[in-house]
Amino acid sequence: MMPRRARTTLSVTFINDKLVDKISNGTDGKKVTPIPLSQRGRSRHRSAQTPAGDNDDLPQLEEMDEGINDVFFKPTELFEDGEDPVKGSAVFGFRTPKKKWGMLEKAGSAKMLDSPSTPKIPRSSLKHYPDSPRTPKTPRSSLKHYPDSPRTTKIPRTPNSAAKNGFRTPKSHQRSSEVFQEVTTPYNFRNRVKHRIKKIVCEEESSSEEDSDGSNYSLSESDDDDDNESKENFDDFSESFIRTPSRTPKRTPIRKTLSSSTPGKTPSRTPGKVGRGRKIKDVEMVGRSDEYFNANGDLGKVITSDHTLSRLETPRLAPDALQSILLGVTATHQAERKALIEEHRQMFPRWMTFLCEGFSIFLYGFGSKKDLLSKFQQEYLDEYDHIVVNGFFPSLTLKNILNNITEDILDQSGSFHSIQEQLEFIEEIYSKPNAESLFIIIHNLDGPLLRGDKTQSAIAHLASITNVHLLASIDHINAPLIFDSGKMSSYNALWCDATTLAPYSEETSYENSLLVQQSGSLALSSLVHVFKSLTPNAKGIFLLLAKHQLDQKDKSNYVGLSFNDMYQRCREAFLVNSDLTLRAQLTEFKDHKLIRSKKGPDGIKNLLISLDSTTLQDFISQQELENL
Amino acid sequence: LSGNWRELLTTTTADSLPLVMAATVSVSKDLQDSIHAKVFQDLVEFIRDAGMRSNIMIDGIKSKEGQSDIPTACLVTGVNMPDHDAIFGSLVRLLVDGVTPHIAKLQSRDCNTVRGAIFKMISQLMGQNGFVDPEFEDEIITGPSIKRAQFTMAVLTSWYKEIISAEDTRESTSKSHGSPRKRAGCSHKDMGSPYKPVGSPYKPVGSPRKTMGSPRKPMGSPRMPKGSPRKPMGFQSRDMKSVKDFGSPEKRMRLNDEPRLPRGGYHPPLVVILEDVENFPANVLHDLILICSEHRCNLPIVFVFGVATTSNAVHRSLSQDASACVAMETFQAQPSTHYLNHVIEKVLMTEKVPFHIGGRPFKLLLDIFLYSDLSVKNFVKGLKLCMMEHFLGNSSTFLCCSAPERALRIRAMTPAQLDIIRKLPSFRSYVENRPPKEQAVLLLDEKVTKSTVRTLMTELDSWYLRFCCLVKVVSALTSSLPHSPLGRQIREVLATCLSRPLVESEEFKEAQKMLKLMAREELLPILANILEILKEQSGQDEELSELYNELAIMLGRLNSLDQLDQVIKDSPADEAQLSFQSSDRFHLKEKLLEMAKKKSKKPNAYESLRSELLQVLVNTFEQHLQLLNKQPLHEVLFFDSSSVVKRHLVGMPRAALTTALSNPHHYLQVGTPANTASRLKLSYGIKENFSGRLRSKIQCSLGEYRYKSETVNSTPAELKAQDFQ
Repeated sequence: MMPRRARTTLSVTFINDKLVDKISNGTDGKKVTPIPLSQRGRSRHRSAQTPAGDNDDLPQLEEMDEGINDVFFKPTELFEDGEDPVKGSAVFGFRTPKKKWGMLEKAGSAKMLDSPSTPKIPRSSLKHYPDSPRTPKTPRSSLKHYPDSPRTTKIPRTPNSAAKNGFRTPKSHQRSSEVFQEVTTPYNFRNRVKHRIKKIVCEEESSSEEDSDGSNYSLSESDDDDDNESKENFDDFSESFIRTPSRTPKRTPIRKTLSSSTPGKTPSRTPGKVGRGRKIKDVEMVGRSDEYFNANGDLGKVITSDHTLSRLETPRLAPDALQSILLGVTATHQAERKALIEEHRQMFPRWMTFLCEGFSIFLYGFGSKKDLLSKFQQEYLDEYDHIVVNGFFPSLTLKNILNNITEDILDQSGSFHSIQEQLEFIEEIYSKPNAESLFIIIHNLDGPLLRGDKTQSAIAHLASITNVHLLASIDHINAPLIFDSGKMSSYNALWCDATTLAPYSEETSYENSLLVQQSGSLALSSLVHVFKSLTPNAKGIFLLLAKHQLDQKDKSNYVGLSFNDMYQRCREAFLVNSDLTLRAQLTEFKDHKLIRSKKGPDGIKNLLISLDSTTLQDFISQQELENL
Repeated sequence: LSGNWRELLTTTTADSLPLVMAATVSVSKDLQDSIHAKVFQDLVEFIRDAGMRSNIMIDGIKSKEGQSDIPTACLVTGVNMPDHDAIFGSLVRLLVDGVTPHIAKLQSRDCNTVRGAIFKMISQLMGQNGFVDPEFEDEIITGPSIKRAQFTMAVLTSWYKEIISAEDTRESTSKSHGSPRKRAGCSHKDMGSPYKPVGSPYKPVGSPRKTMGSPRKPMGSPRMPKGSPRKPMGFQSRDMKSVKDFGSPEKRMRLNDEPRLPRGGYHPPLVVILEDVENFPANVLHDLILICSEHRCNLPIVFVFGVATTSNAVHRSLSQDASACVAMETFQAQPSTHYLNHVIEKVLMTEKVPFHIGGRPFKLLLDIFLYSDLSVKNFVKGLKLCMMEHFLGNSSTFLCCSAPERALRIRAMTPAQLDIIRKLPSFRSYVENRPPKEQAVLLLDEKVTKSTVRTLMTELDSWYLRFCCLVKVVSALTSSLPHSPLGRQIREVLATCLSRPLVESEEFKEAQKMLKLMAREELLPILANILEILKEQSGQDEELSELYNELAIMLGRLNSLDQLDQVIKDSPADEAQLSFQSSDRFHLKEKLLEMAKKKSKKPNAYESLRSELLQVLVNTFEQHLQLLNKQPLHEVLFFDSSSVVKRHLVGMPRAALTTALSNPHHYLQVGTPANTASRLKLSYGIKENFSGRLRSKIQCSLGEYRYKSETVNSTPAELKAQDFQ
């Protein structure tokens, strides 16, 4: 007991200085996924209060209240013990914070650097509160809407529940939970906090700038609106903390230490590495399936932004125009990104170790990981057989990959009857104990043509072969859905966060950009071209159809003009004299892909011009101009 | 290859990591076999029996009824799909050893069409895939073009007839020549180990596919004219005898000459294993069964269905006529939790594997097991990862090896290594607890440090042994309590004990309350159980044997309590009789109340003994079931950080994407967001159907923000349908 006590005191002062230093320098970054203190605490208690709270409740408790149920084992470690978890609700309901002029506001606030800006809250984290308004609001105002907000302050007064809470709360939530529990939890909790602090001391070197974030953050939080509440919390908190071994008189610094304990992780990564001053924290997620449905299940409430690109002045650009603009763009934060990649590079030896031990590695995270993988390939795989697969390539097939292996690496030119056979052949060779190792790098394992179940199981099978090692990257947000437990187990994969924030220039080169005008000009010019060659009657027919379609453009469920209607109209306009002539004309349009005909539910043919309304509008106005 | 990455490790750890991992893997593999030993035994019996029965049928009795029933073993394996491969792997091994070399293992991924399934089945039965003799590998490599059309049931039937006749002839020839028996069962297929053709004469048979047109041809050399026609009835009786004689010891059949002789008519059955029946397309399964039952009169086919859910699933997916063709018998494999318990006990709770795991990673692995896949394979994978992280991330792990090896290493420690040890926080706190004189010596004198380290490590080892033993004791003590506050399984108690001091935990206090109310009838078997556990360990550890003795004495006292009880009970009874003499009701009431009070104050002999017993146990727990980080040098053997492992095992791509998009500063680590927001403009779109990729163009335009997102707003089912089809 005694020596530890001494140690903790030491630690506090040490970090304290550092933090104070940093704060005075003003170089602190912002907190990741800042879920404000008070709110976090509340969400916890709220979930305990909800009528349907049983489900919600279970995984959060480390131990059940005695006698309620005979359920003993909670997946605490799996589901909630991230050091700094991203809330599942935030992720599942991920939506960009949209608010009218919100971005402008933000820009405005950005100018005032010294004013502690409101931390950005993943709005969606609020959204699943049944009683909270769905409209985006600043965290402050939304806080007020919770009727049960004072509950947080109540908690410390009931010693029993607090004690229980102390048990339930895993370390990760300490920042929020300690606030309430410290007072009443006598030994256990203090003990844990001590360990925590002790741990921090052990890894002083990894103490980071981010440490200060939390504190900065909480400070700005405490001068937030809910004054009473946060003050009270704060008092409870610091009081309790002063009572705990570290008897430092100051308040704020202590608080800082505490929050610093949150990011103070990566214990096993740090030793022996020199890198930059601090490590990137890993994003951890606290997510349960319920949260997904809370966020997405209620379709009525789904909100999408109406800020579409078409509302901009120049919604779409021509491809080359876009290219030229992009060329002029200088990437920001070069140094930081470089540092980021450098940090990933330091993991290379470890990746290699994992690979050699029979694990596959899946890299995820935002940004192109192609360069990173290529670097790895150059540095480590030069001497080994390896193939690189560009999963994003639009015409890649499994056969290509397997042929690559059998033909280029194994020099086996024989043709194979089936993919299965080829796989077996490869397995035959590579499962021998003395076989050469083969490394497979797949950029985008979730590429459009690799997603199929068969392809995936074939690749998984390939990866499970003893001497075949797979290193793959994943970009799609729902990519993990393609792996079931069987495949996952064949892959034997370890996940690595390899966020690079690099542009996906190569990966997207095969795809259409949202910013590029979608073949609009091309369609228009071809339309005009075809149109010119038509007879006047045919022109009239087409224009009639086009005008009708334009009239109906606001109807979202417009299916097209029915053939009979069309015929009627055409007759009235003296464009055709018989059913047959009209059909002949329409066939010609169809041949030129100007119109589509579709059978409706009532069996009537509906005619539709397959162009978007803007192009059509352009076309019509152009025609009218010519006619004038 | 291995040289490359091991440079990362110091030379000493390089030795121990693979050792430790290999130990773990081999232990878990052994366990796999032993766990399923029982059910496999039954299965093998069943298959052999079925083989017998069908032999009889083929040989003689042509009774129509029952002929098309294919004996089917339905092995209910549970939902932990990843482990199944291993289960069936060991089943195949067992069958090859004991019953039949003709085994086809079908997986649903190979069998999308009936044609493919039949091809796969026949080619495996005829010994082409799977169990290939090394000598024939070349052939397979050079000739991947097997003609599928040639694999038909007719070919299989005639092939099997060849076998039978060949075997019979060999049977008769071997009787006269006494040639080695080994060949007998395996001449025509190049099977795995026990069936390796020894001599050359049968080699050409290994590639029946080449001359498939006339399937009998390859049999040429070994084949002899069919043995003398037999009387069916006679053979039947012989078969029956052979069942009795040689049913149980499987290995004898192959290895021993003598007992095999009377087995003349026994022909190995053709075993078809469908690993994951539920995944098979219903029509394929249906056709496969019908086809097989059609040839039932010629081929002794036995099915083994691997079923993850219940045997009902098979019937549900099959039509009436197909399910009428299978005579199913269900075998229940041990649930994987059972296997896990063994793994935990044999790998984690033993000193044989020097690596130990701390509370949080252990809990994490358990959580993943229980809440995500129930797969022991994945559990072992997680364990492996923990080991790697331990050895890679902790430089003091060079001492993490078996005890004799460690002594050597301690002796050979370099000053640098000593420094590493001295810097361990637990060692530092240990030093600080010493008197000042010793402190200096410990930090400066190499010899003293080494010897201290040695004793500390030994102590740590024995502490852990004691710890594990006591965990078992706690589990035995509390598992039967109502509501099981500490859990019913040892693993749960272990998780609790590893993560916090047991005696102080709420759960234990709860359990203690209930223990204090326990009846003697319940307590006695528990105590006996505990003594059993302690007995196993008491030889090695003094403190445990002390505890054992103490408890044994108490058990004796508890047993002899009967006589004492009598005496005690008598006296209050007398008092009560006395008191009844007063006639006033009010008085009586008062008196009774008084008596009740008295009674509760004075515990009887059993109660006092019980509390004494509990006190002993609690004291022991308090003393020994402490947190592991109170033990000096625990860092060397224990891995106690869950976050790193969790990161790798539980991928969180979604969280990473969200963070990167909503909060790039997390990754870029630049100043405040406000600072950067003015410069960083992000225009991105997530559009599912369109591109399926997060697309980012970081664009610079000094005007307003262009900000757009079209987020995924569909239900998971839709997502799956849209995206991944």
